Amino acid sequence: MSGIDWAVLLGTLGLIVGYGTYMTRKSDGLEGYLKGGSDMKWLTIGLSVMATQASAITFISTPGLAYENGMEFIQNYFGLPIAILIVCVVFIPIYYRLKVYTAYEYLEQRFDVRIRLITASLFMLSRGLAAGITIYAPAIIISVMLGWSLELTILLVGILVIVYTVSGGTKAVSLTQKWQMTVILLGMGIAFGILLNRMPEEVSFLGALDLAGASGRMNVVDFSFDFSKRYTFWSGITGGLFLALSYFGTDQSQVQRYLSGKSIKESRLGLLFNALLKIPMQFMILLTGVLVFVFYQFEAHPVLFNKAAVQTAQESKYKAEFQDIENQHQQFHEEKKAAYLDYAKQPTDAKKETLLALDKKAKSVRDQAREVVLKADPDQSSRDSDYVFLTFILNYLPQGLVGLLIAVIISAAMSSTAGEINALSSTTMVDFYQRFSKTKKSDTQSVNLSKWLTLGWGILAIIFALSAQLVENLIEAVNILGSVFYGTILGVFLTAFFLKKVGSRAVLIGIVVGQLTVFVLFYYEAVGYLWFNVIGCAIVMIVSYITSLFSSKPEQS
Amino acid sequence: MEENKAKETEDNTNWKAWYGFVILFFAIQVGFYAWLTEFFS
Repeated sequence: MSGIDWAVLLGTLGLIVGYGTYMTRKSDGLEGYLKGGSDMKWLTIGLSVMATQASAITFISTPGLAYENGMEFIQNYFGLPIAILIVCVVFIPIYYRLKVYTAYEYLEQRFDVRIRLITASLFMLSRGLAAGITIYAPAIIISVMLGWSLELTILLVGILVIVYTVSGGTKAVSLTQKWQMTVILLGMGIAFGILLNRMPEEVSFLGALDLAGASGRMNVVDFSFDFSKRYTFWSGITGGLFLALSYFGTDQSQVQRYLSGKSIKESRLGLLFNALLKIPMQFMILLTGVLVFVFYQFEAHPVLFNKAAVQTAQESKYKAEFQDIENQHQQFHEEKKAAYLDYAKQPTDAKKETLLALDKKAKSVRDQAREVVLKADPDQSSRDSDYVFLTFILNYLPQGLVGLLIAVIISAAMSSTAGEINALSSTTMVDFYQRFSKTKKSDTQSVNLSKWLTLGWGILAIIFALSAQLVENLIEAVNILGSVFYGTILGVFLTAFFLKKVGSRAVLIGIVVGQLTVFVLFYYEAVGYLWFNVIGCAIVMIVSYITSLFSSKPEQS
Repeated sequence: MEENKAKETEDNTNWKAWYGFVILFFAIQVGFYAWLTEFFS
């Protein structure tokens, strides 16, 4: 990175962190610290909700997914608008009416303290681990590509987040997220424009889409009932719905964002902003990845984008074998480039068949290279697509914009981590400390304690990140981790809302059976992870309901 | 609680129209994505 890039990167991050810390320097008491003073407008809430969900992984991994497999991942988000409507209609009015600080407080009023603590603990377990991955995932990629120290990158992101989250609480998180999201959208828009601009003269925007389609990358929607496929319209609209419902309705890192609203109206509008814009945003990110794919059909690129993996192979006893594959890749690239240019000038069905065959061969060459890397070092991540977009940024963006795009990635990591540790500290404070503390603390003491808890969770997230092992697929790792617990948590909330006769004992049995079932399914990899949400939720509700029918003693409800 | 109730009562937003708009926009997007898939396959 050049001096200008460093200035843009440090300037952007410094301004946002400084702004968040400065604007929230005055204490508003515990309500101000945990709920942001309940005066947020819809746009701040909307951008804050979006920034919490969109982690750095979204901007690094998603274009890579599209590069490798096309646009199909978008279907994962198809349940989101419907889930948000349900949250607006059912969840938000209840949270507002009961004036809760955390989603789990409601469960004590509906069932009993055990259910509140179990769900709060499940949230803390899954979100606490996810916070570590949220920092680690971009740090590993940035450190490999820029040659930074992994530990220092993790510390940089972690400490910056801790500074403003501890100092200003929920308000600081929401205010900084608003600007972080603005920088993210601006940076991604610029990257998209530059990408289009750098296409060969013969390739227009529509021509690029045509080339992507001819290579099987424009597979946006798949209506087939094939359960072996990870992403179809049906898995998105069912599994994705449950995942989103659990995330937006019961995950404190999101609930805290919209509970900071000035009124129900502002909270709802903030969420509806996401219901409208989340899918188009993901579409644009995936399309960027698809265009990067088309771009690399005309520009020379390494057989593998992960520099560390390449270095591992080159320094091993398999060096000659890897060199052969690299040579094969270079020769093959010229053949591919000619075929793509030929198709761009005059597309025909026969040429399309050729492109599909060439793409298949290209994948096979890359697979061979990955196999050599794994032979050289079985611990080396074989997933290469996470490095594709960053390679493009570093090699083809002008000075200054590289710094901006790195700021985009670090901002995204910071915004989601801030939302997570802010929510984790609120849950610890409200659902555990305040619930069981026998001594009444002053407002100032409570705020100070919340700050210490935020600091503690921040340090824990850094420790998790520092000790994390390489995960095969970063973006899916976070979703899988969430899905293991989300189904059960959502099942408890839906039982509370819709099965009025079910009491605490019945739902407790439902939780145990539901969570154990999901653990078994996860262990044996019996179904795709999106289905954990549906199955976990359904089992909790069904078992709770049936148990309540056989319960001889009338239960609290 | 009273304050929040008041805020809720004051709200005269036509939520049904908003929710309808969200569903319509989603349906249009799915239609557009299905067309993209078909057109570029």
